[in-house]
Amino acid sequence: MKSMADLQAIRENTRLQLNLRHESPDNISIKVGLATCGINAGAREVLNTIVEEAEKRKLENVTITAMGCIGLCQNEPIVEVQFPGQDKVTYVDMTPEKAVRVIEEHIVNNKAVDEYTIGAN
Amino acid sequence: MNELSLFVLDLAENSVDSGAHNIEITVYEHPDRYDISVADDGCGMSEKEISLALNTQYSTKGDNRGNGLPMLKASAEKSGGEVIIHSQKDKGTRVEAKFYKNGSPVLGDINKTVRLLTFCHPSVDFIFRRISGDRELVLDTEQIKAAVNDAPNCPQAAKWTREYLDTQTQIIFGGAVNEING
Repeated sequence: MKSMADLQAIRENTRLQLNLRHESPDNISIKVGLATCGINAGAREVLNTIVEEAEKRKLENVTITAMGCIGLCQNEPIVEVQFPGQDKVTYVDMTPEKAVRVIEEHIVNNKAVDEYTIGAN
Repeated sequence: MNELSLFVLDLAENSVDSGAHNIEITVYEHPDRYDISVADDGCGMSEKEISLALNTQYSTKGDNRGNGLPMLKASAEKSGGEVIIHSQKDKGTRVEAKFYKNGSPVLGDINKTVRLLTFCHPSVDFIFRRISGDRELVLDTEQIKAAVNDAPNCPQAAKWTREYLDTQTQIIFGGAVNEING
């Protein structure tokens, strides 16, 4: 008969394994700024579009998460994309429409959309 | 913020940042007002921190941050409502906001807020309750995991959560989702 502690440990372990399956370090990381400045600027809609595009295209190799404020509040919504082993690319002033293009060109075809990046703005 | 559901998102993100493993979001609709509550088991705050956080630009997370709670308070009070924070160090925090409908933003897409939270923070267990009179909609992260037999951040979970919340909202509260949220 397993103790409560054992059951709890099994539950925790299962949870970790399940989550890790979808958070592999081999995944492309997509982070959307979701601090107050980001939410105020429309980040929720950008994040929603990214999640829906990934779902539509059945992208299995991406990890989509929220991140905090990076000190560029005037340029929110901000999306950071990082391919494994590469430098991160920071997109600024994002919109749902721009997010669709970033998914198509950068995430799927590995070509960053330079005009949306922090460098170009 | 032009939707109460965006304030909910902001509060829940605070809870995640505080290290919470469990977050409860409750939206209680009365005829004349919304009572919103976001409770967590994160690191909590002292009495002094609660006051600083609500009334000044105060943050433990970096410069130029700390506007969310004062913004929430200003918006609630503008509608004739209020914000009360209960918190205890190392136990957790509960933020309660009362918004009178006449004079506050619409509720907005609360389902979108909730499903993005469960998706982006798969290690956190969320419980979402939406109550209106004797009608109640509940979503628990455990339900999502059981339904798709996978983590809450897999593609199937994103789809299941969206469909569950939107169809249940329609069944329980009636009307199209956009209509009843404003």
